[in-house]
Amino acid sequence: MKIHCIAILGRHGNPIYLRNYDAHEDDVKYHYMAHTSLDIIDARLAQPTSSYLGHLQTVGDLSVYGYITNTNIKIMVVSSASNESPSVRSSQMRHVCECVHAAYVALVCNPFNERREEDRVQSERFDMVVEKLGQLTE
Amino acid sequence: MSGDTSSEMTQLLSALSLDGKPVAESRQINGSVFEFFLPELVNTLVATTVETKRAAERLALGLETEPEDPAEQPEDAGNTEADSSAGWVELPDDSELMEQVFVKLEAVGFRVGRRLAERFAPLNRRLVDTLDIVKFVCKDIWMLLFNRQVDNLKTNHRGVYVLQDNKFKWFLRMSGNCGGAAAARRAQPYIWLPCGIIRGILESFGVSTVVVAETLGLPQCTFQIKVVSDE
Repeated sequence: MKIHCIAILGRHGNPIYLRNYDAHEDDVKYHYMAHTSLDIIDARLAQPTSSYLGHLQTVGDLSVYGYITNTNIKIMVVSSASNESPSVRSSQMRHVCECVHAAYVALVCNPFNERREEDRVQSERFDMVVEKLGQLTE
Repeated sequence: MSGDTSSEMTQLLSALSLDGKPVAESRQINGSVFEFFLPELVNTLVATTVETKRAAERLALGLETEPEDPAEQPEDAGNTEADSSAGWVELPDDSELMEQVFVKLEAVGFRVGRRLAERFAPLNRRLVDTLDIVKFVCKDIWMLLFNRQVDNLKTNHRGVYVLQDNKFKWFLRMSGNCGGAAAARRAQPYIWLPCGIIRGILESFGVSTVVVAETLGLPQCTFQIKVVSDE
């Protein structure tokens, strides 16, 4: 299983972060995928759920998994098919989402980070964490 | 996928301490440090606001911005030697100035509240409506900040919530010789920071509010949350 993209969208659906692990793919494709996943997330939120939303949609051979925090930050992971069972893949994806959430919390709690809510994430440490996450699952 | 990668991720997760445990034992600080910090924060903001105002007045009058005579310094800006009869210092009587101090303190609290909300928002359950969020503030946030819960929560179910804390931790060490009412009035600025914190937390969950607080007698204090609807 390979992670192709990790995307974070803010409270109002604005893109906050996108990490594209494919050198040959354009970011636009993943922005679009993340944006279309928003509707699916909204539909899932109609019922009571936990933070991890699981598999959202499949586009071609790529699957999108979603995670929403209580502060309405949405984390999406795009990965390609794998050989593991769905439950194993689900727990791996959940783990990845939780790590991204933890890194985001660490970023927000940094008092020297002057980012406002609607700004993009610009942090070397955050980039490092996401980089490591992308390599872990190869 | 080997077990190694998932344990690496667990390590990453615990290093970022989202599970609520401290990162390392050596990184804890004494909780009472904040109780020392708060009066200094308030006094410094009052003093700097007074100084900014006087500098602006001088500029408007065409004088230099630096006062030449140190005796001209305001004696009521946190300088404890000045008024020793009451054993404490009166806040400047200027309501416009205190309004500015209020805005600054509340803004600091707001930023702190936003961070608290991101850091301590519950992971396994979703907070569905405003009442859930306010209950989260009353129980979880109060427990984190003050090691106790809010004593009384009242709501009119139409967007107004009243939180009552009868032993507000940051007021426990405050007292004055001039009587309860004067002490309560003097303690006003120290309550503006928690107002900002509550507003910041609610804002993180998407609820726009106005938070005011009052104290009728230390150490009791009451916070009133009014939800501002977007219509």
